[in-house]
This record gives sequence, C-alpha cells and structure tokens, in this order.
Amino acid sequence: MDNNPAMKTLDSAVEKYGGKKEALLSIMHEIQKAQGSISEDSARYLSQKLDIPVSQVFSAATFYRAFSTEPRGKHHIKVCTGTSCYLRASEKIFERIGRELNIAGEGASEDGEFSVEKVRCMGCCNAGPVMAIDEQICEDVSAGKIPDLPKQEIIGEMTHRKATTVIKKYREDK
Amino acid sequence: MPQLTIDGKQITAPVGATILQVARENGIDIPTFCHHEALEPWGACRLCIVEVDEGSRTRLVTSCNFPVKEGLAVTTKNKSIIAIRKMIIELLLTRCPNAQAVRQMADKLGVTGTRFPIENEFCILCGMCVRVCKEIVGAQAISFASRGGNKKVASPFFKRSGDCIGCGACVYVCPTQCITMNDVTEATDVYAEGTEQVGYARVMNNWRTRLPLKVCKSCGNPIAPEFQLQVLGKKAGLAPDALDLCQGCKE
Repeated sequence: MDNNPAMKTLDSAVEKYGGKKEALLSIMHEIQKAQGSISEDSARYLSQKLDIPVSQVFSAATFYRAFSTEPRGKHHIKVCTGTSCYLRASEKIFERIGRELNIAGEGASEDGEFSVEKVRCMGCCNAGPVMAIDEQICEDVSAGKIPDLPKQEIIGEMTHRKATTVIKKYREDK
Repeated sequence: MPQLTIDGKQITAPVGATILQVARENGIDIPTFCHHEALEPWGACRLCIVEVDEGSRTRLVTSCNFPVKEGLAVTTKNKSIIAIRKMIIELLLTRCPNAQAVRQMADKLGVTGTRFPIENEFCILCGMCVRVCKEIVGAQAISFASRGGNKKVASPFFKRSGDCIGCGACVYVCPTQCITMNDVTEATDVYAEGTEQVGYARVMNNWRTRLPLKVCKSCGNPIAPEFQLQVLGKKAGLAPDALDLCQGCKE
C-alpha cells in the first residue's frame, strides 16, 4: 500500500505535521486538497498512521462540509443556500447548474471535471446570491444569466464581476 | 459542602456533584434520556433542564452537567420548564413515534400527539452507545456520522467495523432498544462459487459486523466472540490459553 501514489501524498501530509494526533484536521485538509476526497482507504490508512480509531476519522470526514467521502470533480462549485441567498432564489441556480453539467443533485459530473454542492453561508450575504468555483467567490449570480453554452463559458456567464479570472484559470488548467 | 435549595428544599450536597445527581438522591424526579450514571454527562437530550437562581437572575440550564454551587436555588418544575420539556418530547415523538421509551416519556409528560409530520426512526441520537463504546469499552468502534438532519450513529463507512469486539454494551445502554445483536449457530458466507458454513457467530446488526464465536475446547459450546476474548485477555494480561474453556468446564 505504501507504493501507491495516493498513500505517498498521505505520508508526506502526516510527516509535515510530525505525525501528531491533534493535527488530524489539518492533515485531512491536505488530503482533501490533493485527492479531492477522503476515501475509505485514505481514512483507514490515516487512522493507522496516527493511531486514531477509524470511527473518529470517519466522523470528522462526514461532519465538516470541507471534507467529502465521495470524490469531487476537478472544479468544485459551491452554491450558497444560506437564508439570504436562498431568498434570492439560489435553489434555481443550483438546479440550473445541475442541468448544464448533467449532475443530478449534489455530486460530480461523469467526466469528473465538475462537482456541485450546496453550502450554507459563505460570509458575503450582501453580495448574494453567491457561489464559489474552486476557491473563487462569484457574486450576484442569477439563474437567468446561465445560458446554454459549452462548459467553459458557462462558468464565465454565471458570474458577474469576477468572471474573467475564473475563465482564465479554467482554461489554463485545461 | 455547598448548601443549596431544590424546589424549596434545603439540601447539603457533596462537592463536585451535579444538580441531577443531588436531586435524584433527594427523591426529586427529573426526566432524562441521554444520562447514564456510568457515563460522563452529555447534555444532548435537554429534557433535564431546570431553572437556577444564582442571586441576580434566573436561567435555564441542563441539570445533568451543571455542578452545584453554594447558595444556588433550583426549580425543577415550573410553567416554562414544563412547556420546553413538552416541546422536546413532542419533537422526539415526531421522529420516533414507534419507540416505546419515547412513548412512555411522552405519556409521563402529558404529551398525547404531535402536530408535525411524523417519521419512523428509532434512534433518538442520545449518543449513549457511542459514549459507552469509547468511555467504558475503549473500542471506539462506532461514531456519529454527518450532522444536522442526516446525523446518525454508524460504523466507519457504514461497513463492518474492525474495532467492534461484540460486547453488546451499546445494545444494553440503548434507551429505545434500536441496537440489536444475536448469536447464530450456523453463519453462512456467500460467494459466487457457493456458500460456506462458518459455524457459531455473533451478529451486530446495526454495525454490519459479524464476529466468529470461540468454542469451548472441552464441551464445544460457544463462549464469546474470539476477537473479544483476545482483546480482553490482552488487557488483563492473561495467558493465551486462559480463556479456552467455558465457565461450566472450568468448574
């Protein structure tokens, strides 16, 4: 199992924090970033490495929205459904994105490029409805502004002010 | 030794005791759902709320984890406390309308029905099973998964738990009896090629875990899960063959 590249990133993450139990969440953040999810194998391996029961790792991985036990897409879209954004019809935005990317509910698209998730409040209610693509917050999104365009343009059109940076980032990644 | 009053009754309480302990020792009943003497207070069910008066103002606290203080005046029953308890039990009744313990408690508190759309759960998320597994058994085989409306008690990844020793402590403490285990005489493994009989086993239904039972070397009757005997034997520092015989054959 140690030769597995996924487990190697895990090893280096554990190493970085000196193998301390208290660093569990920090290590899990690193794994989530590198692998896109906290998989069952990772959780079991991590529990062995840190000498923590698997149940504790599982509990933390399912409790915090920052982690996911299901694999996420290369680009992770978070749609805010907190009170303020909800009242500005963020559910419709979520539905629209799902339709465009062919994702039923929360989860990842078939090609593994995108995943969508509903989140509660991202702390910028004044700019709502908001969504975030990867770590980039997009303000004042509305469902009407999402046209039927090829995928890379969808992201641009979905956002108002911060659109250009997101498209650029996406194209560079490609 | 702090002096306090509970429902007007003058009581001298031991240092470090909680309001709930002192009240129960003095014959004052406070309903609880997530409290067990052997476990650390948890304060999850909120049924044990009482009103405390520390001199300047009154406030509502959970009595199970509130330590007694000098001059504390506690009220265990008044209009607002009863209203809150009724609300809590009504919500529990909504979630678990078929759990006997919940129905009995609702009956005791005078709640006959619920005005919300009912569900059919049995677990009230009191956390006693999780806590007994951690604090008493030390196995930590189960934990809470997710949060909010999706919160549930589960084994890791909803699969067989490698840490479960099949002791049944969780079955014993569960107030709603929604955790079950049973011993089977002929457990079967099913493969694509066919089935294999694996003999005596203990099945922990909720944790999707099956543990083979060790049989007595002399009479061939099942004793306890093999893994449990291994763990306990190691903990107690016994010789590897110390637990090979059943109680009857030992005598």
